Amino acid sequence: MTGWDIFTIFCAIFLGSSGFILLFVFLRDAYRDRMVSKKNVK
Amino acid sequence: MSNFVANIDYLIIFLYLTMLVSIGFYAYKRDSSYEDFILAGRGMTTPMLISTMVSTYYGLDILFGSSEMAFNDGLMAFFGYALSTLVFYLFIAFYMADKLRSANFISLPEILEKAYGRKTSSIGAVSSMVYCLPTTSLFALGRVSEFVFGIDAHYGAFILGGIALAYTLLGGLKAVAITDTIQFSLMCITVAVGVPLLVYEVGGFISIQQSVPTGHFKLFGTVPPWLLIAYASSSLAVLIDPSLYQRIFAARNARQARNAILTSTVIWTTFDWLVVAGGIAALAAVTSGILSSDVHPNDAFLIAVTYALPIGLSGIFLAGVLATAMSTIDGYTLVAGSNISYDMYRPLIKPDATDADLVRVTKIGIVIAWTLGYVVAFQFDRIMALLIFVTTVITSTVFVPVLMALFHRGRKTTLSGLLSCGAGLASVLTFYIGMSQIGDYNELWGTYIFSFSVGGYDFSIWQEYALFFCLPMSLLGFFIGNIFGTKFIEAPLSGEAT
Repeated sequence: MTGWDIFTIFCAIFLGSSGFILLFVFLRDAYRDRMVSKKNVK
Repeated sequence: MSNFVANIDYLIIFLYLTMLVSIGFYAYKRDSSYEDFILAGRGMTTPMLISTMVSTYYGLDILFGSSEMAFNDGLMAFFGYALSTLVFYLFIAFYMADKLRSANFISLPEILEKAYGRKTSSIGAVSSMVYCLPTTSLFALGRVSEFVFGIDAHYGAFILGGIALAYTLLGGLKAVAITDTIQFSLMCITVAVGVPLLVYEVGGFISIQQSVPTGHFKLFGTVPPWLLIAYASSSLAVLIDPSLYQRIFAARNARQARNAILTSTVIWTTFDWLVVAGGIAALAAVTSGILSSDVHPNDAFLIAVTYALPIGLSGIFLAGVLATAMSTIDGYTLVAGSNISYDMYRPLIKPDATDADLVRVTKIGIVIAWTLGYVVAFQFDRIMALLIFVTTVITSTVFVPVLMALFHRGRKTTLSGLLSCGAGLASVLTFYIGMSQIGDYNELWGTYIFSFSVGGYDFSIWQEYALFFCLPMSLLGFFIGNIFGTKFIEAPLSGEAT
């Protein structure tokens, strides 16, 4: 395994987790906003 | 139709496309204000801002362009081309984001309007609109459609591009940002899984190094140094990218904009590397006989990664590739539409336009921009040449006046803005027409080259060197205009405004 392989794996882990984390935070924020707006309507 | 795509993959792609249109309906708001429609009310969350920044910039032109460059030239695609763009993004984060966001601008031409007046901003609006036409994305979308669905590129671009058009018209930047977030996640996850699998499939970098020419593993390849500098200079366009500006204007505050750009820059770096690694691995797959030798360098990355991924993941990857194109089409057509409404219709036709007028004209502008992009997309054989030309035009026209508006605290005149834009535009057109007349077309590099000798030394001027001549002309125009023009008085800029 060369340095290029390790760099590729590192980038893949970083990019993949960025995708998951941003999607998770986005969905969490969207859910919270929806709850808050529902409360306000009540 | 591709041999590597199974029915389950098509189902995934279909579900994904259905979801996009549903989001457009979800984000649709009948009485939205102009700022709601075009800047999502300046209230986006940080994840949405990052996603929309990353995915809008990262279109199929870059996905195919970078992987094609890696396929042909190796590591140079990352170290000579991609990294220079990332350096400019850092400059924007640290030196420009604060100035841009604090002044509460709505569009790039508005910066010119406040610094030099409406005539200059109109030229800037036309340049921005032409730059934002979704030409390359629609062209690339057509090519992907041919590969994935086996349908004609014209129909593929029309149908898939039409879906992006539909949700952009329905929900404005809010719909664009929501879809971008999902598209961004798809892009990241599938590329992160697909490229390492492809590298593993061809035997890792030890095998790749043995399979590809040695020049592919030189950091700056075998490309002539001046051409390398010209490629890096073309990255200057990111400093005046109207779509990136729109995202900065849409941020809640300057800090959020800066943090989003910094995070995006790290993501772009990793994404760029994986695409470059995928391009080189695709070449290794071709030379080692895993893939057919008649694979076009443009399609090599797409075909190789689809080959490496298992059934199901291929569908997600292809949905991610479609997402890459659609997120660029929606983002740029929205900006082009706002150029037509806010920067042309409002100042030139109806200065007292209401919010409803602006939203209506923006939607018409989006349709006009999409249609123009579609018509132009299939008129050119070499789409990268068109991309470089359009990038050179906007950089030569608005780079100097915009940066002077933001950073030059001294005198600015209406004439300086006009001459700077005009000299830049005239010089780029003259340069391109001149090169096509006196230069020789080089099949290997796909460009015009003018060669001559002076005092026994040989020199070559490439068409890609346009910026070396046009930017100084634009700067000269600015200074001449400043000497002979009268001072323009408008609202204060760069963080001094409320």
